[in-house]
Amino acid sequence: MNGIQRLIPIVVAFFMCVVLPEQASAQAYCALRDPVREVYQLFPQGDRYRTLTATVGPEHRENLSQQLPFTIHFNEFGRHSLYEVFQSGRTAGIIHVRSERGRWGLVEICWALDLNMKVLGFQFQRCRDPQASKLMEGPFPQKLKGMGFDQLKQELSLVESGGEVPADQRALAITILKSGLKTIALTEDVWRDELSEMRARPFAESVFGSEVVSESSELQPIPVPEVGFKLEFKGEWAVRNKSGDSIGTLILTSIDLAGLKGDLWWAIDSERRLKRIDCQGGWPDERSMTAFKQLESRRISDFSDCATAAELAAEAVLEQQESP
Amino acid sequence: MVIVLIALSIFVLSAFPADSGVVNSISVQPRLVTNLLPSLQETAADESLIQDVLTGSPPGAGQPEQEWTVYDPFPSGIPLDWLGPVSDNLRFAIDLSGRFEWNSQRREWGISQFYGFDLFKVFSGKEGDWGTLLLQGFATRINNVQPHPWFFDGPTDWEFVYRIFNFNYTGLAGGRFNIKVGHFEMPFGLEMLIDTNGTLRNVDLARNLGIKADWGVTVNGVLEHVEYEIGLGRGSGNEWHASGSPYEFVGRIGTSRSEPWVFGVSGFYGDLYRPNVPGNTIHRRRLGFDVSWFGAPVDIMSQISFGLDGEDTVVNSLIELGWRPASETTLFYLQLRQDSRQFDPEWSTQIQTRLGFQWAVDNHWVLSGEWVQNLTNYQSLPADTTFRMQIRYRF
Repeated sequence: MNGIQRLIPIVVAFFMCVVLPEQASAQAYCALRDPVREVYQLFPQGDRYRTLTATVGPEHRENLSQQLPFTIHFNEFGRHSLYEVFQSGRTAGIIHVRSERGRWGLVEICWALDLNMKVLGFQFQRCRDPQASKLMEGPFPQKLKGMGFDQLKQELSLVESGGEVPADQRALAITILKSGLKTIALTEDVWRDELSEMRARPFAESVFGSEVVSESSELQPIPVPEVGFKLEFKGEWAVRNKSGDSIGTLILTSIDLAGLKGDLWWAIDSERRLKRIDCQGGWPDERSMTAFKQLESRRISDFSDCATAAELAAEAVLEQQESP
Repeated sequence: MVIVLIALSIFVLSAFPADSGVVNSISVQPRLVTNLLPSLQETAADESLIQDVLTGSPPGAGQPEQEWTVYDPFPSGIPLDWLGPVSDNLRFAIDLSGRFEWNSQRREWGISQFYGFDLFKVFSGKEGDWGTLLLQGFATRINNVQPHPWFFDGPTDWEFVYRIFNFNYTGLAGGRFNIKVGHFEMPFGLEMLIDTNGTLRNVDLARNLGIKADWGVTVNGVLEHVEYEIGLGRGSGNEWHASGSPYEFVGRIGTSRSEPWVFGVSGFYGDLYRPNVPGNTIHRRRLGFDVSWFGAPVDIMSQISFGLDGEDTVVNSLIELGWRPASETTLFYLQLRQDSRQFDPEWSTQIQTRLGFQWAVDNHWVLSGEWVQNLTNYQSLPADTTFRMQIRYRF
């Protein structure tokens, strides 16, 4: 027993050295549980769901802090899950559960979003705030439905300035709104590729008809003419009809111009004409929409024909599509 | 041997760091902009505003940061992306812990060491999830630990312990009706609501039923207002033994744990394997009820069960008062346990209190301690005291 007695001070000293002023918990994975109940409450017509686990790293904190209207001390690095909910084989929306710190302990909020990152609803998976039931019975949850990132940001300013929500429910409402903003920003950033896959199918079906199959193909780095602004190819999908014949291509790009920063979907038919161009989440203004929509049904094959940024982008996209 | 394996795993994982993945995007750098952008070139006042919003300092910056910080509660400290598709929906952690206990009657230290792994993987197809694999295996060393689980050969021994080691097939009804095969935890009482694997804090499951986990099959699921799990097991616990034909039926049906009030009813019926008793089995029956309330920083959890140990009538109850600060990194709990049994014809009762804490120092280290005080003990056994401390590290 002398050996054991000698060991104890060493162990205690060791622990005194490693005590860190941070907060966290390390739970065994048997405590992991899918939000099954919440999935079917938020998507009553849903019949299945799919887990998409991704690693959240320091690079995501940087992106998040760029977007959020409040300072964060984000340390949620690790593996996080997103749930894609299906209804009759088609994506009905996504679920993401976030833990936030509230006045009465952790608040676990289950967010339901559509593929444009608009709020379909939310539920508490866990909330011990005595104001929770009052807040949920009021108009607040209904008001958030349909809101995207910018609307949630406006709502947050409104609530923080003392409007709309009763004073005793305000702290919880702010927690919820900040959680919603983080959920949207983080989901767009961390599950970018998975979301693109989910979005490709409904876009293909809206352009080419309801009976299409889209298959993603990996983009290879290829030389691209320098168009003078930031343009990034992010994905490409071959679109086939039920017989397996190729009927077109989808290309997803990101673009960064003055007044237009976002993801653009390009649908190209089998004759290499631009069939449709859509901005993910909607066009920011009429001018941007007109600049790109006027390209639909056109073929642009020569760099010298381009007079606008939109045409330059289209030329680059069509060249990408024509490349083997 | 186990230490060598762990060291080897760490070396392999260090030698093959996370891959950044396949490059599938092309950046086109600005160059020819100005005279080619008639339609989008002119910067209107509102466009400057948009640019500021997208790249400038966000309004509201400077609010307290720490309020909005919550760690990943299930960290997977080892980079997994280098595994490629195998890493999809995979979490893996090495779990090491040491437990020290001192008893006032024995006046000796007992030490337990656990060297294990924790693996969780969701199997998924394009149309949804269809299964969950959960593997927790621990090389366990006990030194001078008494009493000890029966499957250890003595107070000082090595055993490989399967905590939870099963596959749950979830492809039938999207999580509402699943079939689990493997080594499963007994779905009985409060154990369904909290994780007590590898923790000092427990809710008396192993002592009450005579078994904590077993090889077998369960059906389980989550419905809108109800959670359930009903299983049939081999009745031999950590290892598979058929001598004496042991078995158990066990199950619990409860209300949703997302609500502040949770109610459950459980049942257990079985003959459990024991190597050193006539017929190699002991008989246990239980009917249990549990009620919990989760509110504010306080939890109250309680359960009561009735039944038979062989021919002896048994009544057990437990109530726990838990308190967590808002950060929830620390839990303080006070348990009061009562365990009465009728040794024909006399009843004998043990009443015990447990005062303990769990402190998640960060997302790797957990420190916990417990003071166990018997207020009265069976058949005039001394009211002894036990102190326990545990250090746990997951990475």
